[in-house]
Formats: sequence, C-alpha cells, structure tokens
Amino acid sequence: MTRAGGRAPRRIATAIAIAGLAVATAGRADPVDDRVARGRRLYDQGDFARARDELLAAYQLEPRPELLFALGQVELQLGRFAQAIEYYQRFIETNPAADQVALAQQAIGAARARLAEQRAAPPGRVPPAPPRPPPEPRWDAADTGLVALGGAIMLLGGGLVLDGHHRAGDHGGTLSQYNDRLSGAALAEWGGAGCLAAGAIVLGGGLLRWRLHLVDAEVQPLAAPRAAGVAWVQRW
Amino acid sequence: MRARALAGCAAAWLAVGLGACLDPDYHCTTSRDCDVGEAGRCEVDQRCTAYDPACASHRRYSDHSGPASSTCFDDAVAPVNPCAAGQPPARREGCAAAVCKALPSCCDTGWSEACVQQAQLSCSDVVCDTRIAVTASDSKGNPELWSLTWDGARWMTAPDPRKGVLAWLAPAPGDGQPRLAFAGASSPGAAELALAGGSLSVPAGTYLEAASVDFDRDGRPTAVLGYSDPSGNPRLAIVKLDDGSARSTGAFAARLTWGDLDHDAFPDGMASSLSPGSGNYRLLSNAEAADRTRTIGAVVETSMGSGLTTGSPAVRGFGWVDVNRDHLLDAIAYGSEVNLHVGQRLGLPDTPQIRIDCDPPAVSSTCNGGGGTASTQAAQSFAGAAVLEATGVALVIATFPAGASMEPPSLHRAEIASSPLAVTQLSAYAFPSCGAAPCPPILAVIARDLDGDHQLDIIAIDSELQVYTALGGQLQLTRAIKLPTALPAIFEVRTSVTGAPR
Repeated sequence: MTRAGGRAPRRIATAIAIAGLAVATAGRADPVDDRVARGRRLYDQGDFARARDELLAAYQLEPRPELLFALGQVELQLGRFAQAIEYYQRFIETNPAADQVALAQQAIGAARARLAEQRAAPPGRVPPAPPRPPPEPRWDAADTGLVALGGAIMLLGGGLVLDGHHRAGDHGGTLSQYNDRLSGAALAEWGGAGCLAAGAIVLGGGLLRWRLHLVDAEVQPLAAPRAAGVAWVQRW
Repeated sequence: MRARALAGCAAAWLAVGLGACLDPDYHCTTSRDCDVGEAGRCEVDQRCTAYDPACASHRRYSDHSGPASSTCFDDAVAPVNPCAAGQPPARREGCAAAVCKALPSCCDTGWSEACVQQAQLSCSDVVCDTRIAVTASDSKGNPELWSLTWDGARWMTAPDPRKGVLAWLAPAPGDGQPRLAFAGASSPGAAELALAGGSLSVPAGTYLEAASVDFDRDGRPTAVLGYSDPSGNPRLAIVKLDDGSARSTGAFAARLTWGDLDHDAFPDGMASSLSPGSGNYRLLSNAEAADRTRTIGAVVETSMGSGLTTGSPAVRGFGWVDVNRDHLLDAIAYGSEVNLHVGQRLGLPDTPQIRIDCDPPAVSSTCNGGGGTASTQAAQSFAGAAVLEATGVALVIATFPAGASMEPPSLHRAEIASSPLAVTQLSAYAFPSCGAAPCPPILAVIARDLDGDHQLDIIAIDSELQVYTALGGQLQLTRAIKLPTALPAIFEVRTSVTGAPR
C-alpha cells in the first residue's frame, strides 16, 4: 500500500490527478479504454501483474501520460520500486499540471524509501510489509458535544460576569440599593466565574478526548472505470 | 493552541469580573442616598458616612467608599490659607504641625483666629495681609459697613452701602481667598447672605453676626449667622454655602465667636445676650441632636457680675487664646468686666477664674478692695484683644467711660502670668495728640501681625472710626487711617478679621 497523501490537500491533489485521467479517457469507446477498464478491475481484485499488462498494452496503443502514473502505482504494488520510480519520472517529464507533479514526486519519495528498505534487507528475505501510518486523533460526535456544551457554559458564565460587572458599575440609587445590587452582582460574577471554569473544563475535556482518541489511518486505493490512482482517506 | 487561547480568555474575564467585585465604589449626591447605618450623610467627597461615636468626628465611612471604607471620617485639611480663621481643622503638616503642637484644637476642632495668631508667631513662612470688615453702628443701631485692608504697605478702605452686617468668611475648600459676606435684608421681609458672585436666601430677620465655622465637622463651607427673627427672638442660622441649605436654632447669637469649650472635636461658641445692658453672655455648646445632627445644646449663662455701664453694650466681644500655655484654649469676654475662663481638661469652667475691672484695669477683687469709686469700679465698658507673645500673653484692654465726668478713654496692655494667673504688669498706650479734647474711646481692638516680623501688632478703632496701630510691644499708637464715617456718634464697632498670605 502506498500513502499518496495524508491531508485534505493531498486528497484533493489525488482527486485532481484521477479526474485528469478520467477526463482524458471520457467519451472514447476504443481499445485503449477497454484495456484501462480491465486494468482497473484487475487492480481492484489485487491482480497487479495482469493489471500492469493491461495498462502497458493500453500505453502501447496510445501513450497517454496519465497511464505512466498508473503504471507507477501498479509497479509500486508489485514491489518493483525502481520501475515505479521510473514511471513516475516519465510521467513528470510529460509536463503534467503542477499538482500532479507534486503527487508524482510524493509517490517517488515513497517508492525510494521502500527501495532503500528493500536494499537494506538481507538477501532472500521477504521485504516487510510497509509500516502502517501512525494513528490519528479522531473527532467524533462526543467531542463535538463536549466542546459545544463547554462553550455554551462558558458563554453563560461570561454573560453572568458581564452582567455582574455591569450591575456593580451602576452607581445610581441609594447606598442600600447599591449594596443590594452589589450583592447580586457578586453572586452573578462568582457564578459566572464558576461557569467559566466549568465550561473551560468541559471544553478542555472535549479537546483532550479528541487528542487522545486515536484511530488507525485508513488507506483506500481508488480506481474508477475511467481513472486509476490511490488516495489515503483520513477519517474525520 | 486553541485550548490555551480559550483558557487565557477565560482568565481575563475572571480577572475583569472579579476585579469589579473587589473594588466597589459608591458615590452619593445627597444625604438621602446614604440610607445605610444611622444618620447617613453624604460628605463633600461624595462618600457616605454613618453615625459612629467611636470616631472623633462621630462619622465613619460606609462600606463601598473606596479606599476610605470603614475608616473614620476626618475633614482635616492642609489649609491653603493659614491666615484665615473659620476653616476645618488642619492636618499636622508643615506650619500647622507647629501650630497644633501649641494649640491642639487647631488640628482637632477647627482653624480658629487663635490658630492664625499662633501661625503668625510660629511659622516663618506665614506673612499675611490683614482684612477687616467693620460694622459700626450708632446708639440707635443704624449700621455703617466698611472694608479695611492692610496689604503690607498701605491701608485701603471701601464703604458698603448696605444695611446689615459685614464679615469675612473662610475661603472655599481648596481656595486661598477669604470671602467678604454681607448678611442683612434683601427686601422687606426677606434676607440674604451675599457673597461675591451670588447670594443665598436666609431666614428673615435682623442680622448681627456672621462667621465661618466648621460647625458640623463635615468640611463643607459653613457660615453661622446670628440674627433676631421678626418676632425679636435671637436665633442662629447654620448655612451651607455650597448648596445654600440652612437650618436655624434658638440661641443667643450677638458677638458670636467660635472656639472650644469641651474638647469634643466640635467647635463651640460664645455669644452675648441680645438684651442691651444685661451684662450676660453665654457659652454655647455644640451638641448632638436626637437625629445626630449638630445643634446648640447646653447653654450656660454667665454674668459680667455687677458691672453695668449705662447706655453701652454690655458685652463688646470675646477672644480665644491659650493664656496659661497649657495647650488648651481659654476664653476671654470683654464687657463691663474682662472675664477670663481658663480651659480645663474637662472643659471650660462656667465662671471666670479672673475678673478684671476698674480703671486702670486690675483684677476685680484688687481694685474693689482698693477703695475705688463706683465709676472706676463698675461704670466702665471694656473692649480688648489677647496678644499672643513669644513667651506669654498680654491683654490689650480699652476703657469706654460711660460719662464725661469719668476718666478719659485709655488703652492698656496687661501682661498675664500663667502660674499663678495674675496681671503682672500694666502699661498704658500713648495716644497721638487729640488736641484739647480727650481722644475718642477705642471700641475695637484686633491683634494681627501687620509688618511680617512674627510679632502680633495692635489695631485699634475708635468711636470716630480712626484706626490706630502699635507694632510689636510698642506702647505708642500711630494713626493709620480714618474711615470717613457719616454716623454722628458711633456707639459700637464690630469687626471680622481675616487675611491671606502675601
């Protein structure tokens, strides 16, 4: 598996690359499209060797640049990292869009890392499975609820403090009225302070829960009938 | 990062909000606002106080009075003008510290004329001009008003055409200039207290005296006016000059002067009876009413003894001075006798310890026992002033003979020994030549430092409104200025003295 992107911009870049491939093949019912569609199906089934054959055949029929990127992905899945790098570089040489270049360079980086690991491994040993991406914090409904509740309590507390402040600042009336008002103001301010503290605790708890609630990153290969590629999808 | 920002924001809110709780500050506009505690009062600093007898001023700041909360109210001030009497007590700072070392009442009760005289003696930086409001009247009571000023180089006079009483009031709080005031009729059936820049309506009546005194110990500019109401009853009006409010109480109020009878931190007064020739005067104790306001409480009547001077006002004035240097104010009444009440720790005694009578003046028992005639023993009226000296006190006493057959008018200086109290030396002032006739009698005597040498000098005004001066201990009177009076025969001269630093 290859991680082609770990953040939303990367997903977007991947999507653009795929969309470019899709647009390039849209509206054509020719042998090239047929082979690309077959290659994608084989890729989905995990038969990467035959998927490569189909894509190579398609490329020979018509050397579309995006097929070079797809071939790089397939070679990567096959553990042929040097070949994958070569495809990616050839893809870059076709002067694709900047975001696609960035995607290809990321893929080259990943392939090179894998290649280095492969070369460092003792001969005859099966290369280890690629490391799983680090677990990522997951934001869920409970976090949203906690933060919203904490924020609401803090807003209430702030309102009480402001109300108390306003009441304490009102010097009108007689001294006894001022005393009464000040007692109410003190109550409101201390209550508000308590609410602020409680709200901060709840809100902080929500944020802490989010930071500590780690889940595995999920990598999904993407393959559409008229496109090929991979993307890493993070749960949010 | 976001959590940290939220925590910071919450902390800021807490600080702001709780800060308001920790520093409550209430400002009143009227005493009706101060409805917490007994007899709430809105002070001049717009803080509320309530009655608390544990405080010298009987007032304690209410809660929520900022930094003053729960402290005793104290209206003491650093006087901007130490040359003017009638101000609140002074803080023990600078010149006032030296004055109050000699006369604690200047920092405990009020800044009286005795304090001004002590300041002129004790403080090298206090050099004052002298301003005298003169209210002269003939035997029928027709008044003539003059303003007389010594600026250190020359005398200046200004007549006032109004009919009433002219007096110098203390400077407004924070100001250095005394205020010349007129109290009298503004229209038939109405009266006013007129100051530069405006006038206040006061109860209708015939006004006799006006003076500043911190009667309520509230630090507000307060004038006390002595008057007789339209029914002829003697009354005393206490007027707040800042808001024009006034209240009145029944009290003898002519020749009203303010000092300290009982050391209770509230100024007390002395006044003569309104009845001409009664020979009585009264000690007016500033007391607390049931509603905790201040009023004239115990009134002790004291007699001038047997002295009756036919046809002359029996009591010509009062003075306050520490005669025996025991740091307590003593009171002197000038009339058909000169009565000296020596202040005690428990208060001023009702009866005088020393009575001075006769011509030349002497301790009454001595001259009576000396075989003096009726005319020399009793048929005299005295005006005078106490003169504070570096080492003692002298009384300057003017005689006012009732009849032409009696001794001619004179002015004497009597040195007073403090222990035991006695007249140790009597000297006569020399008048300038008055031609063939005797000089007119002196009706008013004032002691102030005119030349800035920190010795009290003598200012004397005779019955033709000729003003004399005698500097320091000199016994030669010098004509200073004559007020061009239109009254044919002046019978009484009332003076109100103040000054400002020069």
